[in-house]
Amino acid sequence: MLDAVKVPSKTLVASPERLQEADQDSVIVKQVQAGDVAAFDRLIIKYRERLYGVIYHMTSNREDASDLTQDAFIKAFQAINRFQGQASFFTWIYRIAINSTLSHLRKNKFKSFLSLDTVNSEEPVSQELISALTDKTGADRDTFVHELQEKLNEAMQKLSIKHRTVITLFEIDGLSHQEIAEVMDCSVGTVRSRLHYAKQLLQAEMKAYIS
Amino acid sequence: MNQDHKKKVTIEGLMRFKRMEQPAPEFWRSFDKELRAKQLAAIVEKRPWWSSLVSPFTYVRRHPAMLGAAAALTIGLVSYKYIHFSGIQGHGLNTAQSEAVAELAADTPKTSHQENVQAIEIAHPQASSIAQVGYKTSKTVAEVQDKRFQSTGFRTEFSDIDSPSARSIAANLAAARASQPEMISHLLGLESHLVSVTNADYTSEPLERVASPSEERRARLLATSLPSASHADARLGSSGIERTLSSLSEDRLYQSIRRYDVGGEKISMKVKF
Repeated sequence: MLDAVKVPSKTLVASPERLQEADQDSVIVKQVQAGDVAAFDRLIIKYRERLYGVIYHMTSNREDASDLTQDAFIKAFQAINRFQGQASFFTWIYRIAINSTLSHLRKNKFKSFLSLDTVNSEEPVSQELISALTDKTGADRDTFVHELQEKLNEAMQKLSIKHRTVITLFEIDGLSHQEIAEVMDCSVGTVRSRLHYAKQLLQAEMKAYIS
Repeated sequence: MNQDHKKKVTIEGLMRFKRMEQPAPEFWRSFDKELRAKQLAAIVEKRPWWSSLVSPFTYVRRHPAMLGAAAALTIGLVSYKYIHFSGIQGHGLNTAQSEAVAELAADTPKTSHQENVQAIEIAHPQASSIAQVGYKTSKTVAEVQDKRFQSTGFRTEFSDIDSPSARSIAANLAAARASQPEMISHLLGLESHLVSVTNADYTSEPLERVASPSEERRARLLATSLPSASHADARLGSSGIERTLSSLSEDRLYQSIRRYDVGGEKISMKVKF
């Protein structure tokens, strides 16, 4: 039932829209490189939510996600003159953000704790899932949603950093295998393998909700 | 949990549910404010000392072809200039020599040069043509020097002397000119005279240029008598007397002397040809 729900895909890889976006980004980057600092704000507005989302789902901590997203933009801003356009700006800034997050996670391996954003339970996807899992309403429903959210994030944190990154980029952010391979600097086969293994682990962790 | 619905839930469905975890709209306002502050701090932040060393290499890494082309162009221009000047030197005159010849050509009046050529022409027609070529060469070099001065747009006395030694010689010459102009002009006059004489000498046989013992004796004799003789007969210049006396034989010279007078520090000698 949930599979049938059409979710607006964020994946624009190799599509005409994605290529058009890359061209637009390239123009903005050239403006920034020419000294138009204000043009960088357009890139921030365009990518801040996606970057924050990826980092948040990797860390399960909104404060850390906020800081790491800002740091990624600052690093990109400082290094914008070294950006040569060989990869798209999207791939480049994703790589910066992912590497910063991986470094942060490695440093704070045993100090992590959950700090979660609110689930937008009014979205059709959330409503259908909740109705598929329970008939509860009102306060009980909210408690169930909160419980499910915590279980899901704990299961994610049990994955290794690389597996967590792959499944976040693929299932939540909607990148293709090829794009994930570019961002993580590995082969497409490695991405597929990690994705398959991560799904298996998650399925085992969330089996109470799945089957 | 509802067991009927639970079977329809998949991992992908749970991931989509997780995607609904989103920050509130207020979050983005504080996010933008913090990011702006960090961005400004990054702009104002003092960069490490090595960043100034890295930045040129970044430019080199980004534009290797442009830098290579600029280097090749520079090397080409330097090589062209070197070959050009060495080509001029290869024609037999280095810069210092050509400068000296040009200076002599400029200092020597044209009339005196013509007189020299005429005198040489009478004695040796072949030698006159060689002297003419020498004069033309020096004149051409002087013209080239003048054109170079005009093309560079500034003319100083020693502006285009390339050799350090030639430059120092020229500087010393200028200093000497400033301190003792009469002596230097006299020396330069002698030099130009010697040049013309040397040109004429090169046309004669080497054995003819070797002085005989009798001529040496005559020269010693004249060295004592010539000042008074020239003083006695002011109409004749020293060079005229020397030329006349040198044409006489030793016996004829003794026969030509009619009278000696010694008075004070002067010795006068009357000679009849």
